[in-house]
Amino acid sequence: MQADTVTIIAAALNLAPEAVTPATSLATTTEWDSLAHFRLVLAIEEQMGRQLDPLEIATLLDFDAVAALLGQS
Amino acid sequence: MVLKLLQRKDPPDPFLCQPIVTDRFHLVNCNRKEAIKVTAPWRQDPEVLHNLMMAKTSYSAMQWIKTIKKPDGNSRFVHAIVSKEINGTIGAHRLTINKSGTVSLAIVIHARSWWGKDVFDEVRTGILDHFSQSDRVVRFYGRVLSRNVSSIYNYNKLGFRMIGYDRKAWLSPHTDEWHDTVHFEMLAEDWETKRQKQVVADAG
Repeated sequence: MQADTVTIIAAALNLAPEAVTPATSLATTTEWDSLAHFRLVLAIEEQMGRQLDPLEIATLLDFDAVAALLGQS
Repeated sequence: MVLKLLQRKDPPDPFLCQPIVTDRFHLVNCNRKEAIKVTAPWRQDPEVLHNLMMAKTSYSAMQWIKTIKKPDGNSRFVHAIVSKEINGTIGAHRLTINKSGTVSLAIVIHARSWWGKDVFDEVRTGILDHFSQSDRVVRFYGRVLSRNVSSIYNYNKLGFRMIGYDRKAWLSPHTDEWHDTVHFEMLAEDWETKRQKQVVADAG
């Protein structure tokens, strides 16, 4: 798994890194609440050095989406 | 002439006007006077007015009365969100139904002490459960600012589908900057299917 993706998701969701898996998602992970989502958006934007566009924010729903975004940075 | 005008107005829908109760809240169907009262905290709240994409940065009482469209119990509804715990109003939910059966949704929790407590999820679920039972309702629709991350999270969490976005769709009177907006939808039949699956899953 991509280390950046795990680290960023774990920090935003207040989870241990080993608790983050490719199955981690907004729909299935209790810790992925609205505040965690907000922290996640900010962390990704900081990492990428730019604001996310509307499509990126609206489709940021799971591990793969975060990994795909960070893969662009 | 007066009779014709009166006849043009659709009567309140008895089913849709029924009270809605969730675990923590009464969703009270408001008349116009009540709607103005429960939304009064919004008219000088910059954050609320911004997220509702309103045209002004603040509203006088008279301007607000003109701005709030009259709930009619047929195609326009305002529900006060009344907490059972504190017996007070913490926000309101507005919706309109057009002739094609699309319900446009908006919610404001103006009592900030309730933020982060899943109010959106509980209230919106109650609203969707109730309105999706009406034959007049086909589709639910919401539009939010692209930087309103909490609302986008909430629509996604409920299973709404993002159907598109508009670039520079709203000029903020607060900052004089353009903002993008995101559109979400959910068919009433999809909501009912989702809820039935939840009931089965909970029972299992």
